[in-house]
Amino acid sequence: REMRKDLAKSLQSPCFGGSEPGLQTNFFSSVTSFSFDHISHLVTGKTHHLLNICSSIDTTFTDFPLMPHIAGCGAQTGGRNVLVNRHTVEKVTLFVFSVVKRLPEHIQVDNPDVLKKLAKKLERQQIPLRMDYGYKVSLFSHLHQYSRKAPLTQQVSIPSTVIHPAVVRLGLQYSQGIVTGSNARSVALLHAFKQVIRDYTTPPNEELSRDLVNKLKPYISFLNQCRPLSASMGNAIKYIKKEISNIPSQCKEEEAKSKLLNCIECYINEKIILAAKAIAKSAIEKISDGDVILIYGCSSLVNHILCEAFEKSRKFRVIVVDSRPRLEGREALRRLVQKGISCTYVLISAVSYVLPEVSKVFLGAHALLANGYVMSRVGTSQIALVAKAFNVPVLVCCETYKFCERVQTDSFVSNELDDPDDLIVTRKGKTHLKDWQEVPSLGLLNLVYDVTPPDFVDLVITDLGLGMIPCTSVPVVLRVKNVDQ
Amino acid sequence: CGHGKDVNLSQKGQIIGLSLSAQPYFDSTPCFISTMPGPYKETDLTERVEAFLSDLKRGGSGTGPLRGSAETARETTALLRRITAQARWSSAGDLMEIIRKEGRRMIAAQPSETTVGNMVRRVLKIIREEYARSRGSSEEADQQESLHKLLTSGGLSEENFRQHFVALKANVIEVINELLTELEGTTDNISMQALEHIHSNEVIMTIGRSRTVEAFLKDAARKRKFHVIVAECAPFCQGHEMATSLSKDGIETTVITDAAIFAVMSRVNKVIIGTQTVLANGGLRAVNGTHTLALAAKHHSTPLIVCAPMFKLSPQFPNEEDTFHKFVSPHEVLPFTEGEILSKVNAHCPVFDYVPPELITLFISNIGGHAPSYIYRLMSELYHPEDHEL
Repeated sequence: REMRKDLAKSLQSPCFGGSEPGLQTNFFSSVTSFSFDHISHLVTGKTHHLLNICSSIDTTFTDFPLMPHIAGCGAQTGGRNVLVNRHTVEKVTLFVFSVVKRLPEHIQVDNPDVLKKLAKKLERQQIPLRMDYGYKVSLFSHLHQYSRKAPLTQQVSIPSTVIHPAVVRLGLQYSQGIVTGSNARSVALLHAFKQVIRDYTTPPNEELSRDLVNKLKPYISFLNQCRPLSASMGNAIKYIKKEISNIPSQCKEEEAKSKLLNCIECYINEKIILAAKAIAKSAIEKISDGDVILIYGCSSLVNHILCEAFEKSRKFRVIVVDSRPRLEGREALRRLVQKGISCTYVLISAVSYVLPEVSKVFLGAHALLANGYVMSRVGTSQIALVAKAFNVPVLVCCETYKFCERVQTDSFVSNELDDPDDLIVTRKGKTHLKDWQEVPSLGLLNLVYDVTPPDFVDLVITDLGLGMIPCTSVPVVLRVKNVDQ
Repeated sequence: CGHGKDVNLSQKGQIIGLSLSAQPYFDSTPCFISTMPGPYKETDLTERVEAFLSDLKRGGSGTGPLRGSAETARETTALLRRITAQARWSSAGDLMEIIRKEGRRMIAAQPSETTVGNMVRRVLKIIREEYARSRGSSEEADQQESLHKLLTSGGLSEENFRQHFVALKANVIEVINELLTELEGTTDNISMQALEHIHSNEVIMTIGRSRTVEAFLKDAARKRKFHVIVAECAPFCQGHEMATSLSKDGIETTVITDAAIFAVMSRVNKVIIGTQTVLANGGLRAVNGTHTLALAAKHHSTPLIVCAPMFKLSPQFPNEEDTFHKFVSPHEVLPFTEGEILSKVNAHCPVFDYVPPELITLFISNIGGHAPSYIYRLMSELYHPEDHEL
């Protein structure tokens, strides 16, 4: 009933694309909580009203293509500035525009209003606010910079009354870097949420589909404070929320819970485990005998591919490139050496030295952006650049659940700043940067991600369809996925 | 004698004189110039040469030599002057043989320290010039080693250096002193040009630690405000030292990891680097990671400026030798604490990188700025082609 009133208000004043932003947000706040079956029901009833429905590509709203739900429209999905069929007088004329989505908080640290709103929200949810640490380089003053020595869990009482213990543990594992890598983080998140669902009981007079989603919101805020969510985690959370809200209200609690647990299991199985198998199958065709393969850092998918290829008796050797301060390449090195693959290990500054003998470069990705850019661990773009200069093919391996609808052209606007103290190192008894905080004009920068332009990448191996696509086909895959859902 | 040996002045037949004016650059020990050979002089000379060689050998770790290349150049030149003064020779050809022999030994002690070889070649060129001047033939004619001359006369052959000139020794020593003066002032000459190349509010990127670039930036910072990003250059992390030194002078400095070079390059206005050697084709042998930096700069069309004094110019070509790359202990890369995998893995730790001349925009040296395509010409002015192979 509430939603009907809101909708009626917005339907009364015709508005064209973006002229009255207040009205649009009103509309949106009423849209999010309901499935689109409701809207189509309302819309077909009215006459002569111009309805401004913005087909949003925001992460919160995606996977709900408007058009198929609204009767008789027949417009394209994911429409950007598409004018839909004009209908007869009895029906409704629709203009579909794409809208600039709401900016996430973690890239607006330099805006005090946003920070105030966030503080209020966290207070409501009873989650402590994490303070920034150290001098931030001016180019990155819009991002958070936390210290690993001050994890959020220090400010939370143990046992916490607000946050589920599995989630507290997960948050600590994220912020201390015990669980790293986008696949590992997503899987850990899903397991923690499974635990939450198992321990959940619906309070009286509440519906499971609505209450559970509200219960998850403070957990997500908490995890976000511990470490900003990755693109894969964002997609997983969207999926869970959708599944929960799709639970019919007459479903019994036990049944609903087991259904949800099943869904999560399926998601992990399909999107991560089976996807890895499919990608490995395609990728092994690209590895020939006598190859020298270069990998960077520790990508679980690339390691899986190489181990599978080795089991299928391909003869190749691997060069592992690593970089300070995380030194994740050593982990990859351990796994490969355990399998028996012959490896060489260098640091990223020596990459010009080893590249003349390399035949292929395999890279993992954190996310694939809609404009074809590859977001991955910092240093990936550099390796792709030097490989291009030496004419060595670069192959990126990425599952489809990491494809994301954001666009980005440089590594500044949206990134993550890690603890700057990681850069400090002691060599021959001398630590030059020990007192860097005391020197006012000295700053340390520890970036976590960077974006690789699509012209450096020759091929993306993924688990959809034929498996091998060029970098620029990412929005096509996203569209196909949306239609499927 | 500075070694504390007793000198018996009552011994006949020895003329020992003390000269202080001709040796202003030495450490406090005065030098003995003797017209007749004496046992102390030769042992003294060989001792000094041996000390220098062992110093060179020791300074071979990747963190850089025990002294900077400027000091190495100065010490080499001083040692060559001492050899000129004290060794036994009667004609220019003899002297050149002696210097070549010593030069070969010094280069063999530390092949990657090219300034030593460069100074030897400079001194050889000085000797040739002085000889030619003493003979009275014009310098211009000698320098034009034209193809015609090579075919008709067979070039300037060795036997031309057999004539004895009395004033040759003094002349050579004088010119070597001039060379030493030039070497003293290289860093200052380069820093003086800083304001021509850096404007205010710039973002400058550099890698590792170069004393030349440090002086260059500090000189500019006295008048202008700009921001410096230093890539730390693992595994030796010399960038840390550079960053602390720059920030103490009030320059806004940021330290980044090597992996972030391409990520931040889009906001950089200029890249200014030092180098270990400038090669004959205009390329560089610089600290590892420089090639990546140069490629990233090229991709973003950011100018790459190399601050290198003239004594770093070396007549070697990059693909000539297997000795281009120098490696140090891989435990810098993969420490011994990773014991289980250490034996099954190859780890490499190269020290230098080759940067081709197409990626370089400008060389700034003590005699001004040049494009990489001009380097071959400068080389022909500094070294004689017959000295390229010692």
